[in-house]
Amino acid sequence: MIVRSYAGLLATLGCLVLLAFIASLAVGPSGVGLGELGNALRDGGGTGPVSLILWELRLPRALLGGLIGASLALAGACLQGYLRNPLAEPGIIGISSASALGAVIAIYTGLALRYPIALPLLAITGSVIAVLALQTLARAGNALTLILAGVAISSLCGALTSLALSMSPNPFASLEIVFWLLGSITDRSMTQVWLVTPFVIGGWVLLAMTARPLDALSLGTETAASLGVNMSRLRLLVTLGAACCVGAATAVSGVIGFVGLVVPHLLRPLVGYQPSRLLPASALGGAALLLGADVLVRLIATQNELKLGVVTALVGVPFFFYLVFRSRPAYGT
Amino acid sequence: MKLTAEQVTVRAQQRTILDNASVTLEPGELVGLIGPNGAGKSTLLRSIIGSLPYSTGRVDLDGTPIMALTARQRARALAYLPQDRHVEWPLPSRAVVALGRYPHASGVGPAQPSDSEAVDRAMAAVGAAALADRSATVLSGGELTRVLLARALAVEAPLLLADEPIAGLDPFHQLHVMEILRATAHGGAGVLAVLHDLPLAMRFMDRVVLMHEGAVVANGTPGEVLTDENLERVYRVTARRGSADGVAYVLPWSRVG
Repeated sequence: MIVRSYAGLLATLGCLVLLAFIASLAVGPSGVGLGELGNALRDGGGTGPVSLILWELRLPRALLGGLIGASLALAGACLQGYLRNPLAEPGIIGISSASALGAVIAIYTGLALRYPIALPLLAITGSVIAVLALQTLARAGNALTLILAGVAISSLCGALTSLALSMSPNPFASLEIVFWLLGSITDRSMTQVWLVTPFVIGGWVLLAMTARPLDALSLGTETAASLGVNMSRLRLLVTLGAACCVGAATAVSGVIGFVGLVVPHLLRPLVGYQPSRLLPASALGGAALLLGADVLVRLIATQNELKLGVVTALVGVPFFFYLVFRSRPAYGT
Repeated sequence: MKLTAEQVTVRAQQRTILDNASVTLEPGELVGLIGPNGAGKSTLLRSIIGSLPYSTGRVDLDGTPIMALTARQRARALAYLPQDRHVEWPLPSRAVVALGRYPHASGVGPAQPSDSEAVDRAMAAVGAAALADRSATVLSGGELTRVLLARALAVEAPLLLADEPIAGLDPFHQLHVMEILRATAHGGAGVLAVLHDLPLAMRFMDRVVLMHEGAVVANGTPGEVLTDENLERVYRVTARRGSADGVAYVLPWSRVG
């Protein structure tokens, strides 16, 4: 695909999102045709089976796929620009597991049952703490300290999550949490869509405000500051924005990793490596990728539907290996 | 626009890094900030641009304390070229230079024609117009320095502070960068550059400020400051002197003691 201009790239990605969204509405085990779905969409909240399938199953799933994919990729692109490290990805550096821990605490304590808003709020709190810890532990531009800090945070959150699970009085509840942790957007409802949308949109707004400062940051913190970038404000925007996006996404879908790694990496050369231009492109690309992957798990015939988080990890880990391999210092440079 | 740094003192971990250092910079002059390693030159520059807090002293722009200005006003008045010459992503050189317009642009929307003209001027000034589409991460040291200098020039600030702009460059590029700095000063900007090269400081600078152990110990024309006595006391070297094309030069020759 030849993309000549930035606007053309965004338009192409936008079309991909639209196609993937329609595919996500159209594909499913019940084999309802597009025409019937279209009628149900026009009718609004009918009570027929097609209407139920559309409004209760397919639409929330497609909406969440788009929102979560865009949020994860946008957060990844933004963190990479801010930490000046192409390996910074919410899943790899522990933000996702910290949000998952927050969500598990909300579920485990029964808080989420009483106050549904507690689920995204605690997940976001978890990710705020993780991002702050990362910024303290990792030196900018240093891949090694970042990954090590991420490993430490992931391990700690994983251990605490396991602790919560092993102490759970109800084995079925634990099992449910374990499956939820694997990452999926199956069987979600419109309630969950409404629950996380404000946080996701809020996160997008905060991250959009980091676009130009991130460009200036390509020349290092000193130059950026001398150009008038307010570094502490930027840090706050990135922290809260990424935490809102990843926390809200994780609260409904569990851990879906590597979207924030693969998408910005593939798109970066197409936007001339400019961090600001990478943000909208990544958001669109992330939405298209996650919607596409979610259609794929429905098409692959297995006894139990594949978990989305498992699929993104299976694809993403080799990609991560490749990036790590490439980031080793080469001879002659 | 006149920059005045008065009696700036910086302490860190019970050590005085900058000791009542004062320096001024006016439009049209090229000033060299010289001194041995660890004399506090970079610290002074960082205090001036506001990236390093100082315990006492004041830095004014035309009589206004610099910290009373907004970050954007400060960025428009003072362009700064740090020692760090790392560009994180393989950005095209022109995109790097265009970052110099950051304090001028309002945010969203396409770049203003005035911005792209300023970028063109800056790239032409350093002779980097041909590098526009080259990725900044594959440039040679000399090319990268010129592109980053163009980035600082693109700010079109009345004052430019450059931290070791010729470090690590071959003689050809050292002379080139010095000529660019001189042309910038002749164009009306005030330029303050940290320098280790005494012969070039002697030749190109209108004025030099000599620092030693955190303090400013001499300030004047190169001839007044780079005396045998100062070189021996501050740099602990003796020098050979001569003149060529009617210009005096100085050459560090041997260590003392």
